[in-house]
Amino acid sequence: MNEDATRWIGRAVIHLDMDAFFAAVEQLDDPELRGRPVIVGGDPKGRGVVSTASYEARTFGVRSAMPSARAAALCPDAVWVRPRFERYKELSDAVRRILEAETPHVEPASIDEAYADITPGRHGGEDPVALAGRIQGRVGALGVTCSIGVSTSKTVSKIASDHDKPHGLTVVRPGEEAAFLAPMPVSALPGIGSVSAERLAKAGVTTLGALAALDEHTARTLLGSHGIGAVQRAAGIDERPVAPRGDAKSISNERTFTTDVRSAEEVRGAVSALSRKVATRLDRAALAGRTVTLKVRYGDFTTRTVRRTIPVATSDAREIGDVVLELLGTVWSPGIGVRLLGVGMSGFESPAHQLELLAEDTGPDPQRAKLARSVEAVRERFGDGAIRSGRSFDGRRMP
Amino acid sequence: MKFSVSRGELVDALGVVGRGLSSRSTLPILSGILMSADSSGEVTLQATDLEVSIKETLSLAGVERPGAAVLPGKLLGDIVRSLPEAAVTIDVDGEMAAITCLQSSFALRVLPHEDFPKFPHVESETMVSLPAGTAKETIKHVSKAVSRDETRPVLTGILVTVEGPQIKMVATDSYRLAVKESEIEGGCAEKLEVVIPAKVLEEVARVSGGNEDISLGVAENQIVFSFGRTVFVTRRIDGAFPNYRQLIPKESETKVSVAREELIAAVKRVSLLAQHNTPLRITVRAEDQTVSLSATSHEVGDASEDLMATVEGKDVEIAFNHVFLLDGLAAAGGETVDIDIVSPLKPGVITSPRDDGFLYLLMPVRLN
Repeated sequence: MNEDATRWIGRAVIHLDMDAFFAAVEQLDDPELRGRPVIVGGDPKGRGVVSTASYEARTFGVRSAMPSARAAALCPDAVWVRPRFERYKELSDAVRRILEAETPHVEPASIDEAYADITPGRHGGEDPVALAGRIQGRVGALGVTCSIGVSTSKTVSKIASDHDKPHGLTVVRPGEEAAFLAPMPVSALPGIGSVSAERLAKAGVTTLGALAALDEHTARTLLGSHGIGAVQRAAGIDERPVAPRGDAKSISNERTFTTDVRSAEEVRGAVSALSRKVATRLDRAALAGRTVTLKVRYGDFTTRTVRRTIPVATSDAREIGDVVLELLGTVWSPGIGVRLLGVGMSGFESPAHQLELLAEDTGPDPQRAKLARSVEAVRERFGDGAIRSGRSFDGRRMP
Repeated sequence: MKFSVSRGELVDALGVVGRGLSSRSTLPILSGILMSADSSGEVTLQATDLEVSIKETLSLAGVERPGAAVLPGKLLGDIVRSLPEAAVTIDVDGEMAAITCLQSSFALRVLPHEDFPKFPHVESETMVSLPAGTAKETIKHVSKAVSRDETRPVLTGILVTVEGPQIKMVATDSYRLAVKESEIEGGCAEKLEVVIPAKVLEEVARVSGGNEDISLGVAENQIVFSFGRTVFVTRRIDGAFPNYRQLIPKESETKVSVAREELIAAVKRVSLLAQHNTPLRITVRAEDQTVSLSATSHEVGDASEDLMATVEGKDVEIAFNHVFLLDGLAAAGGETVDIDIVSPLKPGVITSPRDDGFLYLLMPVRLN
């Protein structure tokens, strides 16, 4: 074979996505679970949800984020396991170290996926496809599997890693991006949710090929300010660098209201919900913080930020919520219009964790964590206003 | 309605019934005490917060005119307590109640007694009789482990099992679990297993006299306690109590026997540096036959203390929430306590060599 014909030209980015990660870890740790349908998630008799289902369970139609009761009905023989985030974090870290052994340009995207820039000549000289295969092998040696997408950009690699799961290695060579993406549904593009997809479908745009062909004006009309970027990414053009994230210095969640909220019930409810989200993300990251921050933007757009440092780091939703409500009392009284509320935690320490006797209903809610992650991802990319809770639309009480 | 009774008896009765007053302002009638005098000369006082209903019968009241009225409970209690020790007359005419005692007189507006919830009538399916002293003692051993978290209602209750000559109470807040088994003098013919709201059980224990027998009746949805002239009715707690037996470790890798008071004093000292929820670290060394306690508060400082102990088995380092540990040590009683440890991530078990009916299970804090 002529080496030149296969030489990689330009940037090489991989997206590594663990296969049914939580379930795979459980099967790794307990040999009795191997080959059996395993569901990691909430109590099938209660109101929990599926966090991750093993591939054996997926053949029964079980999916992530499905109510546990429904999953139990679909797959009555499933083995149910409570999530153990600390253990998943351990393996996630091990996978990250495998990537970091090959290149310093590693960007963890979540506990079960990461990007790495392996452009030949940038750090090592190895062919990206061979290197991706080697990474896949080394991850496999940990006892869990991953799927990898290799291409010239983050967007294409992310779509590629999902193309042939589990244990797939999908390579989109330089210049082949547009052809690879063209037949895919628009929803395959990260950031195109069901609302955008629906709006595009109404305009006759159902594939990434059609999206890539849109003119600037139409794209802007259909997708707002993100339209142009979406069109470019649909064509396989995505210059975003792989950016190693420093350790998070803070975790925060914000909520913007379409109309100002004034009542104690709404405002207190919203900050409590934000506190829970922050707590879930802290748990997910195995962190606990000592500084609680509350941000309030009033109806007249002035913003107040107040913070308090507590003596002991916590990731407990109630503890955080209590402090936040106290802080709220110092900057807000019922009747004052509020546009935006934000709750944040910083001053991280690893938590000393009080263990529980009863496994029932303990630990962070994986569904909430997943939702928070997705919402956060959308906001990071498209801004705060891009995704909102139903509460801010109709003022109905959140559960 | 008009009746007279000694100030002392009325104070006592209001003290019991007053515990049933509701603090909810949404239903003003629940802040009142219903007083009823019937033609047979019996006077009863009632209060309810809709969860718990309490009824107390006065023994030595003189009824002049039967009737019923609801008076504001807290104010009535304050008034009667302030009166001199003499006969108190309560005379209700229309919308006003006159309370007189020697030269003092008060006129209070009554609340509409037709609105007062009817006292629940309970047909008990099972009934047991417990010496109040035994019940109190048993409750005392487990009450600290009761959960205060209303989101899991069943854990705010105490699992009470009566079988043969034994009464057993179990409580857990999911971090620790306390079990106490006591002998009932004379035994008990009926078998019973029920989860009772801990607050109510504690109230009953507080109010009942040590020598009385408490009759405990259980119906489908309700539980009724009667003792002396007092009746408590409370709702049963829905939900299954956790299967606690499976939580108790079957084996132990390290067994520590230590003087209880000494350990409590040391834990209290070292815990001064285990502020808030930082854990108390316990290091057990078999070779030295010692238990070392230590605690560190971030940016504050640290503390440590060594104690002599009898240690069998492996060396181990484990950490506990000091409050949970102290609760268990206090409940254990006796001169020495035994602590069994399986591993730093498994529950520790506190028992008392003198009292084989007591067991306190305590989940550790995982150290990083």
